Amino acid sequence: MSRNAKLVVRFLIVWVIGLAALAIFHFAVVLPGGRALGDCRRRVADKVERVTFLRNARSERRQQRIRMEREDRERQYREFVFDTNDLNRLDFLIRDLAEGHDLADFSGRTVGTATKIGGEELKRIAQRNVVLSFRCGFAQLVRFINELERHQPIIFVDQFTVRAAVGQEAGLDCDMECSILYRKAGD
Amino acid sequence: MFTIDLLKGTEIPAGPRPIQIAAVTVAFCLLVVAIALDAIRYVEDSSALAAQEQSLTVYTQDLAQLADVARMLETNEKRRKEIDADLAEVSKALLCHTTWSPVLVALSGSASEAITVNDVLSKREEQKGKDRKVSYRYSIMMGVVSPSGSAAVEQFIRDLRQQMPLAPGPDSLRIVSQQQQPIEGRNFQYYVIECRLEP
Repeated sequence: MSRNAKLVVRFLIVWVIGLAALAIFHFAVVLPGGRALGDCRRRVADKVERVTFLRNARSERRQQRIRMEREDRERQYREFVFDTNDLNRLDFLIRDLAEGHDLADFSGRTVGTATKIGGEELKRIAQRNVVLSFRCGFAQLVRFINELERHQPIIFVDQFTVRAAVGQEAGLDCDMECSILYRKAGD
Repeated sequence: MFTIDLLKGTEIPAGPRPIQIAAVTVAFCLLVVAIALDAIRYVEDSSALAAQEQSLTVYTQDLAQLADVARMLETNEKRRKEIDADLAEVSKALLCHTTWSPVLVALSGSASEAITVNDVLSKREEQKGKDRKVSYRYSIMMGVVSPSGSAAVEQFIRDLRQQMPLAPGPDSLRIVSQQQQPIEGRNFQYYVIECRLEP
């Protein structure tokens, strides 16, 4: 082998060793470092976004908006669903409403609860059924039913029967099936 | 001609050729440039990483200061989800109920002094669909007496047709029966009228 060829071979060996060292440095140090930087940038971006969001949420205007949204939802909820306190005094509540309309011979009683509404078993909401019986004039009846249906939470009138009062009594004999929705306990 | 052979028969070593020198130089330079670029990238990434980690520490501290706001939002979100889930069930339950006030207001608005509404019966009929979901059909039956004859009842029915929230169709309001009925010693025509209400 000539002297030139030997020099070239030596150079090639050194060059390949240098290239291998470069490759090892690149794949073992530079690339993982780049990935770590990318991860870190993403984490910083997430934190910046979260901090900005929370700072905005802390502002008085945003707090007011959040409060209003929550109150709107709760109001909407209370239009339909009885809470435990109202549920416990449901009989008194209906009796109070009846007294406000001077309904004669009023009686009301709870006749049961249902968790299957419209053929579907509901997980969170249940229904309590109440039967009412009283005597009144037609205008009084319309006003009373209107008040039940405008009550918050609503008292649904499911069915009713109105007949001319028997005997010497004036007015109409009314029988009514009502129901209310309430939230099941423990959910 | 003389040949002076100081190497005693061995060849005279040839000097490196220009192409070899160029190739070796290019290869060497490429390697050096690659190493330099990688080193620059490494140094830049390292310093950027240090800066990002510092920022991360700062924002983490900021987040810790905003923890009460985060807790408030979390509680709010939890309550919102609960209410939404409840309201979704409430809306299903609402399909099983109706309001009678508009019906009764229409009834009292249609009744004149010429007729007496003797009795009213609301009816709720359950209908099961193919998917086993239950829907309801509402109707109202009323017994009407008119001392002034059938004209007042016909007028009452015309008024009802205008005011009552009726189901579509010609049969939604009809006289079901008509018979003589003694009331307080006098015979009156007693009509039973059925109204099928809009769902």
